[in-house]
Amino acid sequence: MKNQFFRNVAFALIGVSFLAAQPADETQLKQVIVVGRHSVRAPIAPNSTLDAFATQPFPAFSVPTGYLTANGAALEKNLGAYYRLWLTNEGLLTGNDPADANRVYFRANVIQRTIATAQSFAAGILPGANVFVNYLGPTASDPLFDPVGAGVARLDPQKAVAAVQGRFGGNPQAIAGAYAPELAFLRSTLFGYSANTSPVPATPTGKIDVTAIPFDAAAGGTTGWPVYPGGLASVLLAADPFVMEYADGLPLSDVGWGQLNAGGVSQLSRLYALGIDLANRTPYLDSVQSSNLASHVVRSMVQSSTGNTMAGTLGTPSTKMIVLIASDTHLTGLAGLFDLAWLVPGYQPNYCGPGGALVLELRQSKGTGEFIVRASYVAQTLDQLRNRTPLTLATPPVKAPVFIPGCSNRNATFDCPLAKFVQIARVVVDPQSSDLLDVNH
Amino acid sequence: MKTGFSKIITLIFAFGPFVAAQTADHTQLKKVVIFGRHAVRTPNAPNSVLNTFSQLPYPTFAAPGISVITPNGKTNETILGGYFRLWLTQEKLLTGNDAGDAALVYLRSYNSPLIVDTAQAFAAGMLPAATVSISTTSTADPLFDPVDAGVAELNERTAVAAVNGRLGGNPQSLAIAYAPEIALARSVLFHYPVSTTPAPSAPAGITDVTMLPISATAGSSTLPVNLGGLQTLCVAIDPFVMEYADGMALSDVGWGQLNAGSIGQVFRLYDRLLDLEFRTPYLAKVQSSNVASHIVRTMVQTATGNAMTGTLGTPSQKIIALISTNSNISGLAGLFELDWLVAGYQADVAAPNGALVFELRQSQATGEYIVRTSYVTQTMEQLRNRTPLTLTAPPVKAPVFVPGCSIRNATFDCPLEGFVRMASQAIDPRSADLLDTNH
Repeated sequence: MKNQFFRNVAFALIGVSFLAAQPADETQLKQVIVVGRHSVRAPIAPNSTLDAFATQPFPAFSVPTGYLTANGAALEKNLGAYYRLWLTNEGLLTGNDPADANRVYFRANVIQRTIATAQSFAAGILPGANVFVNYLGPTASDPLFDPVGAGVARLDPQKAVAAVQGRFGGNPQAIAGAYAPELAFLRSTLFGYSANTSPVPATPTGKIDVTAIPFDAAAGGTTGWPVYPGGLASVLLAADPFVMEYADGLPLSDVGWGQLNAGGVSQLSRLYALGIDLANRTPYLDSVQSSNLASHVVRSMVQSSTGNTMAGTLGTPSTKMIVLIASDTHLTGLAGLFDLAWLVPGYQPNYCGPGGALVLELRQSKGTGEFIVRASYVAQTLDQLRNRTPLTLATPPVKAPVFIPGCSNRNATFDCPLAKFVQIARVVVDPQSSDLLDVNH
Repeated sequence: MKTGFSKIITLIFAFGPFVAAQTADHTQLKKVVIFGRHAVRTPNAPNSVLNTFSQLPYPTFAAPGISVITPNGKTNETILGGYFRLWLTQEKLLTGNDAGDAALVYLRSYNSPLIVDTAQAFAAGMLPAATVSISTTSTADPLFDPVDAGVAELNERTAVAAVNGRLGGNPQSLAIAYAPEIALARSVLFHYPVSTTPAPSAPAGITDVTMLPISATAGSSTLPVNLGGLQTLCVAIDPFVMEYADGMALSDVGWGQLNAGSIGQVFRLYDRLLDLEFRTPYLAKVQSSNVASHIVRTMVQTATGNAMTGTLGTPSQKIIALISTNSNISGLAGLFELDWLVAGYQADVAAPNGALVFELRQSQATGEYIVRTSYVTQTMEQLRNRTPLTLTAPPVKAPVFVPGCSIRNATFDCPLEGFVRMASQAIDPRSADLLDTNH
């Protein structure tokens, strides 16, 4: 007996290191909130602009500038079908689509690609129902996704500039130095020479060398940026199409004009991600721009856990699934506010791939009744996108469990008690940048 | 008149966006906390180990032993101390009477030969005519190593979870994300052009550190989480920055394959290791709350003039210099979410000698206290060339915005009250103590 006991203790001690001794999940999914990026789209600048940046014309997509592509819609539907399998497995969906449709809340930002993504996602999740997707008119500012434009939050332009400048010693050009390998690689891709050519060829006549435009951090004004990053804005536009070319399944000869493989696409995405990070993860900016979204997400979870209707929420207490489709800027800002990080094989750290989503599961312990939040980042890999790989429970997208600083415990799914999550949200959400209005219209 | 007024308004607006319309500084420096990294050193592993990672033997430094200061490192640190002398004299914190001023300085060093030597070299530059006493502890230093000192408790499993939970539970995916840097490191170590395709196989008998699996398991008191192959890879690349900064012949810097720019690129791997080990929020809280608490309380003590517990030095000491390692600097920066970028370095790099500098200043008009934060460092070229530093040829001073506190002027001033509020949110009281460290 004694020996047996010691052996058990020894096993227990060996097992604890990590991931190993996970008990069977004794929690039940009560609600899921998906904050997703739109799927594959055409570049956000027209080819007439882009073509000034490159020796050869950029490949044409078959949809207007910034629109969801046909493959993007198919990919998102495919992703929705995976969520259907997962959520049915979790008992959140019943198989009765019209009934389930009454317990979902879908909302998309005002632009075509996010609306179409939400619709495609819904078609995958609940193919037997018409899911209503909430969105505002094309010129409106959605208070969840553009709280500054909507007048819910106020951005002090000078402070925004200071907050960004103060991340790089007030010397924006130093960023160009730190990213010199990526800028050199981008230039070689755009101007069609081998990356190790020395000396580097001159800029082709009549072309703009986006890598030579000085970086800056200036008031955003009407640029669409909270802080305008100077040359980085053009670099971002020029580098943006490559991920989409690859993910949309263009022939490799059209991905960076045949000069980029998945690794090259990923390396160049660092420049794009840099711009998104500066504009959205800089602490002052995420506090102003993401507090309203965060507040609504957290309050919706509390509403679901108590069953009592609350102000400043999405859906009703019985809403089982909340889907918010917007852009990488929104995911990045929300993640920054809670200091969340992830890494998916093939992507760069914290990169929001097309269709990728922060997924917050509200779960309840069957034993104690305690509510917990389980966060993950779920995304198709670049190759799953490119190959339009059908997704099933056996061949799922990547689900990267996300640790919530200040809250998550040390199990493999980094569960975070809801009460503690609310405490954190109180600290990070800026009440002056959020409102208690419902957005269920 | 009206036109003239409009013109002035236009000018103000034209310059208004940033930096320009700064009023003359009406604040006075009352105290400064300099939190610096040690000087250029020899590698952390002996050449007998390093040489199993590379095709060619690593160069030998002009100092015997592992992880010790080099003669040039000492010179560079004294140059930097000399710059602080000029700056602090101009700011009237130093008087020119070195013997008298020495009493105003609290110099605390992590207790290792490298770091004590760095502190001495710094003092020799700042107060050349005096002997500044250096405080060290004989056991684990509660400021720099609060876990081993028993002030803070690190839960190994939470530490591993916190790091894994930034990497999707799959640390190996770092190898894909950093493939360009890993390929560059390999090409340097095995001495072939990085563009070689296919990449040559590892030389016989040599360990390919770029192939070791990256994982996250319980670590040690040096690195709280064991990142497996990434740690070994960092041991292998660590010498390159020191070779360059120490002024070795370029043919000895990465065996002639690296310049300042590509050193920065390879070092993204090392930067990422530090980031995971020390800036991960849970780890920053446990490992850096005590030093943060002491720094903040020291400032409050000066502002109020009342002796407080949990402070550094005496209320009358105006210059608090803490010399330690990049891990400590990264941790404190992570705790307060501070970022910087200096031309020629990657973001948030704590270079040899580089320091986070917290100035406690008082408005001469209103009496209000503010904290002004910056990161001060010699550039890679200033280190390599042992460039003399003066007020007109200074090191780089990168002003740092303190999130949740800094206002929008060009030096990102942060009211002391706001600094204390921000700090009390960031600091974990269970990982800090109120002991004075004036011994």
